[in-house]
Amino acid sequence: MSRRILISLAAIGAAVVIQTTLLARIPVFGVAPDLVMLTVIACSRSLRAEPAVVLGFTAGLILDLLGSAPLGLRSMVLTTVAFATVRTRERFEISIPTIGLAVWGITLGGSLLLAVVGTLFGQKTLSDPDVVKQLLLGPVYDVLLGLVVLPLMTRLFGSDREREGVL
Amino acid sequence: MNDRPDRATSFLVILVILSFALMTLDIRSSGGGATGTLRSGMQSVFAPVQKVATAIVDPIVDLVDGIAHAAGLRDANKQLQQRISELEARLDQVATLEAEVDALNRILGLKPAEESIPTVAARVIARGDNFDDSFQIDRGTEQGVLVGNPVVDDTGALVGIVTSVTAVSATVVPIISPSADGVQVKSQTNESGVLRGRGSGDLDFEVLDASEPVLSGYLLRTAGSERYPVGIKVARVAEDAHPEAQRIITTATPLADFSKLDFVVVLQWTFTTSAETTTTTTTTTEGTTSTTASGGGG
Repeated sequence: MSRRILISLAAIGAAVVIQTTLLARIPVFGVAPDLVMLTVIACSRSLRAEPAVVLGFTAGLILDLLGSAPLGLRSMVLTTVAFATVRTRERFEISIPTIGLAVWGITLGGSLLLAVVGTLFGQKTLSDPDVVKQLLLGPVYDVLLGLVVLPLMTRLFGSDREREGVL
Repeated sequence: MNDRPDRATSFLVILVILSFALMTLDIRSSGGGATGTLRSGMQSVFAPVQKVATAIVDPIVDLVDGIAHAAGLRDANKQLQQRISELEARLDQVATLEAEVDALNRILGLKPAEESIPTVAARVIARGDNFDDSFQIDRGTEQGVLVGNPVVDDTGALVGIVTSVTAVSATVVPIISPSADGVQVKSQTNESGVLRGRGSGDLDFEVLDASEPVLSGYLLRTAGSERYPVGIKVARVAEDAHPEAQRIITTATPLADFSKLDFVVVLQWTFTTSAETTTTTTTTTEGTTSTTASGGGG
């Protein structure tokens, strides 16, 4: 297993712990950023396509196993998020604002997918009166947190990074 | 390089199909079977880490919480002082009434439901994301926690139910979760209804065979069912509502504060049918009061 993948797995593990023990306990206006989704995006910017997609699946599976939602829901969402990142990274690695825009779009799409598929599988997420707030605010927080997480991940990958980028 | 995206697409398709298969399998097995075992395994691995992490980040959470609520503290202090004066005035009256209630309870040999059920105090060690209301606690089967045990907060207000358990941790789905089953409750005027979660804020309260209106402030307690014992306070009716074709639909505010749950209490209660209760009673000669009370909840 390459060093890049080990770093990615360690980052996902740390993100899961920070997400569940810290960020989820201090929501701002009732919404918390999705650090795990952001870490998947950060890793997918630097990894090759196939490991990135598998990493997204693994991260989602860990979240599914720790939560109460149907097993596979977040796996599907984060696999798609990783794939979307891999497919769009070349186009958005122009400047910090374009990367921010990409993070916003991908996390919004991921959250929307989570809400819709979750509702189809009995989670009734879309019946929550706060769902619009969660869908709109969450990606904004992710962009703000991304200003820290993305450069940090780039630094962690260092010379092992598969690709070069702005952040 | 051109084959890279295609291979990635193949990976995506396979993993998405696998995810849907897992979802179907998990729902069909109701969280048990192989998926239940996987869940327990993963939670057993993460629970000790989350426990340590929670202890480390507690000061940060307290600091952020303090800053967030600093503006409202002065007003809250004034309100509390006023409230203390009011409550002191009523204290003598309440003390007299409590003595009277105690005396009556002794005479009738009754106890509130929660008091006859063994409890386990637990700490919340992890929470789900924006779309998952469940949370993990640091007590599991080693401490006697079982799937189906009701969970209350430190004031005795109903929080939710244990849905999965490992040796050292358990997952609780709160009553505010839209995916949680409804809670059968009774109002102080004996109107029976069901409370359902909406994910955040108030709960939906529906009474199907209503004869009287329910008014704002009415206390709702569990009516006793397969899921919860009778008599646990759950919520207060938020809006007045009158029966229309014997049906009432309104909202109720949960008594537990789900945004500030750091500690909870697990009630070691599971539903027993009268037949099961009878069996237990005949096989034990002492201490059957608790068992009988549990069975009576249904």
